[in-house]
Amino acid sequence: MGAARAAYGAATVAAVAVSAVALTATAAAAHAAAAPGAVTPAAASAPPAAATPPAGAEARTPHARARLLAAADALVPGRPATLLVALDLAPGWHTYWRNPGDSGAATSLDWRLPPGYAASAIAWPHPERLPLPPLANYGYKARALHLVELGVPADARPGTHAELATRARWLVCSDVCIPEEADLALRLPVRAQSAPVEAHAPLFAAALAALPRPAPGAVLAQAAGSEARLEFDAAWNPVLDGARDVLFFPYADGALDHAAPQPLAKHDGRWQLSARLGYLASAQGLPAVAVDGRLGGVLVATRDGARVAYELQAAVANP
Amino acid sequence: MHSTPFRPPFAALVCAVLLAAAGPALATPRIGAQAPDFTAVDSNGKSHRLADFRGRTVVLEWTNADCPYVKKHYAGNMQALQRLAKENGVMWLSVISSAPRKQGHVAPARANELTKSRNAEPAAVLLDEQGAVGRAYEAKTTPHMYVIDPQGVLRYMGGIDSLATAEVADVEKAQPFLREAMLAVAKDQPVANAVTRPYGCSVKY
Repeated sequence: MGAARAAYGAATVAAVAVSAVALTATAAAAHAAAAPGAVTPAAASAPPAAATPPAGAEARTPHARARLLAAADALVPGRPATLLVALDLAPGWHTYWRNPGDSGAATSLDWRLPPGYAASAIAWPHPERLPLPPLANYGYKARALHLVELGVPADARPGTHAELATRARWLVCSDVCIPEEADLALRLPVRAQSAPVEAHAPLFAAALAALPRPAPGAVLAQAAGSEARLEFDAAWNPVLDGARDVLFFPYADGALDHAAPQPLAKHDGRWQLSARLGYLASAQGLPAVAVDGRLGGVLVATRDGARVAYELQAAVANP
Repeated sequence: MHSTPFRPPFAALVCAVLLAAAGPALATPRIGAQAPDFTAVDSNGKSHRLADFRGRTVVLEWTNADCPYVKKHYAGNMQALQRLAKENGVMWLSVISSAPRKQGHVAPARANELTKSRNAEPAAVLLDEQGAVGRAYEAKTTPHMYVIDPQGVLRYMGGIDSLATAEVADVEKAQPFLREAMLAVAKDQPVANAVTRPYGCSVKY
């Protein structure tokens, strides 16, 4: 197997009979495959007791069951495929979101794919806040789902097979932390058409439903003393009126204090959320944590008894 | 709360008063501002105040010997940094803010054993089981590193280096932020990267 080409255009989710939310919002960046050559079962620096299990679609580590799943039963030339790396965690243990919060480390996937195939960055379901007073982390208890969009080359030949392999690495913690990893591989046929795998549909549905939706309106981020204020325009009112337990999870490390409360209040008919600045924004200002002048992240709220998430890119006001 | 034979009972009250009276020292630690003062007892029962070290560069290293990220750096890197500190007249203080019964919490004798068995060379190991020093510095991870200059001003806070992994092989690939900051301050030079991302296990308050 050679290294996959890096270029990969954004595409919508393949035919899975569930929510129509596109993966593209957070998974647009192409992700090049890992270097060619055999993947050794155990990383050189891993302690002997925690060797990587042999590659397969499922692997068990001391604190997790890891699975690599495809939404459909075959790869179709030129059509992106949706994959899922699912971690079922031992009770009382958790793994981390792309911004893990005050400590911890985000789960990572290193892909080894055939020529012409490329895996997107992980599309992350919205996290929970996991308090460890006075600190807090962002992540997942019980189960962590990592969606990935796989680009399938237009010249893939029906009748052949493709081996899709990934080394998943994660930090799993209860009150102590253990780094774990697993090599997962899936061999799928290339066909002119594919069908959804019914047995996987509920898991894919759960993952897709927990992805952030596009923002309904614009947001402005302003620093005021030791706090940041997110100002939502009126288009957010249908979402925020009557919402409970609203929490903003920034993508950037050091932007906001991960543990602090985030009071939400309405001013002149529009909602504002306040949050204490994190260590980096506190030291160097909000522009230092902004990307292209924006503070990105996910706003999560409880509406009608369910947690729903929106991705936003707040414009950072000039100081 | 663990009590040592050298510490009169009223010292705890004195510490609380000192911290309370410190006022602004309880605000977010800031680069370029006075580092939060503290009083803490080390693994030999000796009490130290930050103010005692005026005139010397000080490194604070939050630690927990059982954390995989601490183990990564104690495979030689941390010890080398501690020796480098010594060679440069820098006062290196390891700080354990783990609460009793939490990972990393050790009795004084055990702390000294760990120093010896790992060939570590901190000037002192501060036992902060109440978490007062940790909270004053808003220490989040083990390791979490700070450099304070001879005038008591905070000059660096954050990660030990640039690669936030638990893999020993990454030490030599990473940019050694703490090493650079410590040497810069010891040589009275500007610190290029004064604030970086701290990474590791959470401090077990």
